[in-house]
Amino acid sequence: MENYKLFDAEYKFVSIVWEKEPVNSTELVRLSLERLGWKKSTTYTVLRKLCERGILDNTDTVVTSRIKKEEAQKYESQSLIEKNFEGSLPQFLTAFLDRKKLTAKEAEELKRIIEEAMQ
Amino acid sequence: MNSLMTVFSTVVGMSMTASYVALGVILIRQLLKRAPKIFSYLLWLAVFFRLVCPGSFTSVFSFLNVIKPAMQPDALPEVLVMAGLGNINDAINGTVNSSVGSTLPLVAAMDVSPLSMMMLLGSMVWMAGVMVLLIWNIFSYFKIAGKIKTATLLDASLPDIYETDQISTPFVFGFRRPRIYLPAGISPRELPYVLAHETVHIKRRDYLIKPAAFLVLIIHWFNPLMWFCFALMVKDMEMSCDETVIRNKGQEIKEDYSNSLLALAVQKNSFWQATPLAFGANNIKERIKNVIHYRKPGVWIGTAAVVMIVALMIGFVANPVNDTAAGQETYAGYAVDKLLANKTPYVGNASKVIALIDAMPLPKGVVRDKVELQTSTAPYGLTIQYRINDDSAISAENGMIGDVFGRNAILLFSLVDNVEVINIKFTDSAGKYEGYSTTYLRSRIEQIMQRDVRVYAESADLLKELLTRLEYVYFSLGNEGNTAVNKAKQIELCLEKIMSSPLPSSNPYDYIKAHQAEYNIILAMDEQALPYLFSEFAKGGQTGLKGSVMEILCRKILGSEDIKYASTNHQDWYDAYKAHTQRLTDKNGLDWMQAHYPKGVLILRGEQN
Repeated sequence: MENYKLFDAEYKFVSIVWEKEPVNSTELVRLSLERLGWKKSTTYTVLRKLCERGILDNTDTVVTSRIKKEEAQKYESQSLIEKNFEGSLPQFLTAFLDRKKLTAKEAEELKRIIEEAMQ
Repeated sequence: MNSLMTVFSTVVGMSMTASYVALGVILIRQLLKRAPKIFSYLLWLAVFFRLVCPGSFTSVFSFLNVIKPAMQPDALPEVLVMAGLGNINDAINGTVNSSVGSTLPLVAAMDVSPLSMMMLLGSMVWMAGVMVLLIWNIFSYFKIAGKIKTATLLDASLPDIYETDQISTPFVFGFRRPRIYLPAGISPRELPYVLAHETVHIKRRDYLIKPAAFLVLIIHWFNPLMWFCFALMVKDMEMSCDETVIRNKGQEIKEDYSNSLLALAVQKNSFWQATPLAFGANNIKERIKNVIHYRKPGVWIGTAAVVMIVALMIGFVANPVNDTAAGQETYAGYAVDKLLANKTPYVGNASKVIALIDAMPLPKGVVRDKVELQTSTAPYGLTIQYRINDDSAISAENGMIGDVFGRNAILLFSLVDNVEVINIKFTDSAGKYEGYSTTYLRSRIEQIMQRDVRVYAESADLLKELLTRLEYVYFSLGNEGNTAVNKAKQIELCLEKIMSSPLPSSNPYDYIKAHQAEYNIILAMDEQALPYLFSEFAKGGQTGLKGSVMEILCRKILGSEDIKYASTNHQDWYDAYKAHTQRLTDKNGLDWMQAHYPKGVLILRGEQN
């Protein structure tokens, strides 16, 4: 689970893979340059690191993801609560709801996320 | 090692000059508190210039005149220069030696004075400091570069704006192609202000100016005032940048802008981010106050400020007029007060002796180089080396090159009590005077000047009298050898010159008037001129112009020893005078003559020669 921790930049990179997979690594370099402003070497360095951590897979220059987008998001939200609200969901909700009013749709979405996180 | 010490002493000199300028800038900066900060920011350029350039143009309108009159810009105290230039022996214990008459054996054995040891040590510590700071900064540079390597484009359609969760404050990074780096998750409310601020930095090339300033700071790391200046300059840079944003976007954004400054300030800066290679926000409280109080200046105020800043810059950057006696009264080209102020009993007093040497005028194109003091054993001596950069300025007209140096040497004999020998050596880039050297001995000078020259240093009036006399003293460069022959040559040259013009006139006084300097040279020789003049008369037939001028000279020199005589035949005067002295001698004897007619009696000697 610890390996799923993604930095901001890594998350953006993996997002490209999720969107385009299976994707050729040359194509991935092009997309990274276009969307992230990365040099070829940076793309390959990050790709290698993510492969080592078991998040991506690069076989015969074809890159695929080994974890699903939802899994990563679940980890992110959980660690967010851990970090900023001492693991307390009510505290998180109070802080969250103080700031904005929720639409019905957003409330529904939030409920789903919380349920998933509580499992 | 020597070159390192030279570099170090230059750096220390620049640092000292820059410190005066910096104090001035800090003062004016306080006065400009209400004015747009761009003016304070520009003023730092003067300090920067002083820290980088060892020299400058000169102008009467230089603040260094005001701050420290008669100061030599970029010059170290003489003691340091001495050590720096490798004047090892005796600079420090010279005073002790000459008064006690003993040498410190340890120092002599080491052959290096404690002062130059300190100087060497100082320059090594300085170099080490520069190295450490440089390496540390290169290291932090690469550390930041590593951190922002995976920064991603904020928006795929905007080039050169990146965001990353590895940093906590926005900055500009890169030399050739500067990019804006933002911490991930800047709120959309703050984003436009942050971008506007960083864009101004890029437009103004601040991302280059700050590292350049820091590099200079590294070179001057030993000067705490410069660290303070750097901090102030960065503050002015940020504030004027804020002001530009407000000016571009309108007064109404002030509140929002201040709020975003505050929002970004909440994150703490870690130490490495303070490196000047990247831009971080700092001094938030002052910056917010500055933004709130900022008013766009009126055209007139702006123009007035620009004019004032330009004037201030010239004042700070210009050197005072390069006169060693700036602001001091001079007499015959010499700053009498300064000379008397540095009068010293001991040649070992290095700083005073050097001050004396440097207070004396030199021909254009000649600069003082090394000075060595010989103070361990009598006769105490002084060796001054001069470098000739432009020998056209001192072309040896009639061999007169030694003139100014001889005059200066006599002044040194007058002002430095125990110096017996003064050596002057030349190095010449053009090669004409390469290796040329001359030696002046106190005994010889006293012979020429007819008295102990030290008495002239008693008062300003006496020193002025000496300077007047020196105007007319003639020196030849090199070993003087047979001085009588030299004297004869000199008089011959001078007479020739006197007789050269104005040809239509028959009045000898017209010729003398036209060549007053040459006439005075002969007069200054006083009785020493007589043997030659008498011997010329002794040849006989001196009835022309030469005889006329010689008679005038002889009679002037003889003064009260002369006889009453009137004739147009000058040879006749000589013969009559000779007969007169002969008579007196026969009657009273030679000893009586020596006592009563010391000059007149020479006429008989001249015959004997």
